[in-house]
Amino acid sequence: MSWKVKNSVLYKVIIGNTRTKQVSGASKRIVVSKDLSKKVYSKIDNSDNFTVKGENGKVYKVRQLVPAK
Amino acid sequence: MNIAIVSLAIFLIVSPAIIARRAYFTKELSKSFTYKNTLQEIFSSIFLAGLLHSVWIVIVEGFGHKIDFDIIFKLLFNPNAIDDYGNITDNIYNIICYFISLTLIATILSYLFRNIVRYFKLDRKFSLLRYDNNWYYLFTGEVLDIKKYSKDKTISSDDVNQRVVDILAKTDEGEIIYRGNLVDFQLHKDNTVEYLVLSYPEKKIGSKTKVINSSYFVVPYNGILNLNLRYLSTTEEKEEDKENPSE
Repeated sequence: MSWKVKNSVLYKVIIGNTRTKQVSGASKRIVVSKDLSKKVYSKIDNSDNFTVKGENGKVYKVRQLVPAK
Repeated sequence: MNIAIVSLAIFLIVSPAIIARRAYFTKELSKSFTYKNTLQEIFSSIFLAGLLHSVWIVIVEGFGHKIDFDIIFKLLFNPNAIDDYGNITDNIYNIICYFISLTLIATILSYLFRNIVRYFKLDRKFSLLRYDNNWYYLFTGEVLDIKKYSKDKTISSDDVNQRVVDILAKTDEGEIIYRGNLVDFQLHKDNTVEYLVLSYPEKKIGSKTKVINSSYFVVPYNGILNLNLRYLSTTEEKEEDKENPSE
């Protein structure tokens, strides 16, 4: 099935695949990497925006989503 | 005998609404349905059943069929007053067709309505359409779309790629904090949490931190004292970003 059909509103309404994915985007690589996960855990308490670098040299930008009060 | 007839009649009348409601509470939000018992479900479905039958009766009568309201009311309130069941037995196939067609149409419409509500995030915009699964909204980050939790329009659940959770749990070793990527969760049929699944968790006991070597780490909810959820948005930095870090 083509990408266009799969992403059409009608297809999504009929199939009803509406569950929010628990892990998506660049995080798919972070959660399967022990090294990247550790780096995220260590930086998460100190900053809302930071970057983590993987062993292959790829850099991931991480932003904590905290609603403004 | 009379009670059995009345119960059967009520169940038959309400059943299209029960099945339609079941179709509405499917997939990720099915726990809203399953934690109710049959009696609660019948009461919840009475209004919907009335609405469905009103619309379907108008359509059926439009096609030239006649509904015998007299025998329906007698079935519901005073079955002893029915002298002759001939009207029912003569039209049994029409009655079966009526219920099957109504159930089928109501179920399909209910399922599509559910998908529309979820796709257009109407359950997060209007509390009337919101499901009872609060844990689902919390663990997925969909709470960011609910005004009660977040009035910040610059962030939404679409931005969330990853959830990191700190869990304070009581174990034989004392109180332990687990930190990990929340990769899955299971809700219990009574609408509580059954367990959480973390990847690459680390555990903290006092000041010591240790990464647990595991593919997936399961934390049963009954051992959890409290939870701290963090929603993360992650992007892979592109070459242009590195060249223009100020942008």
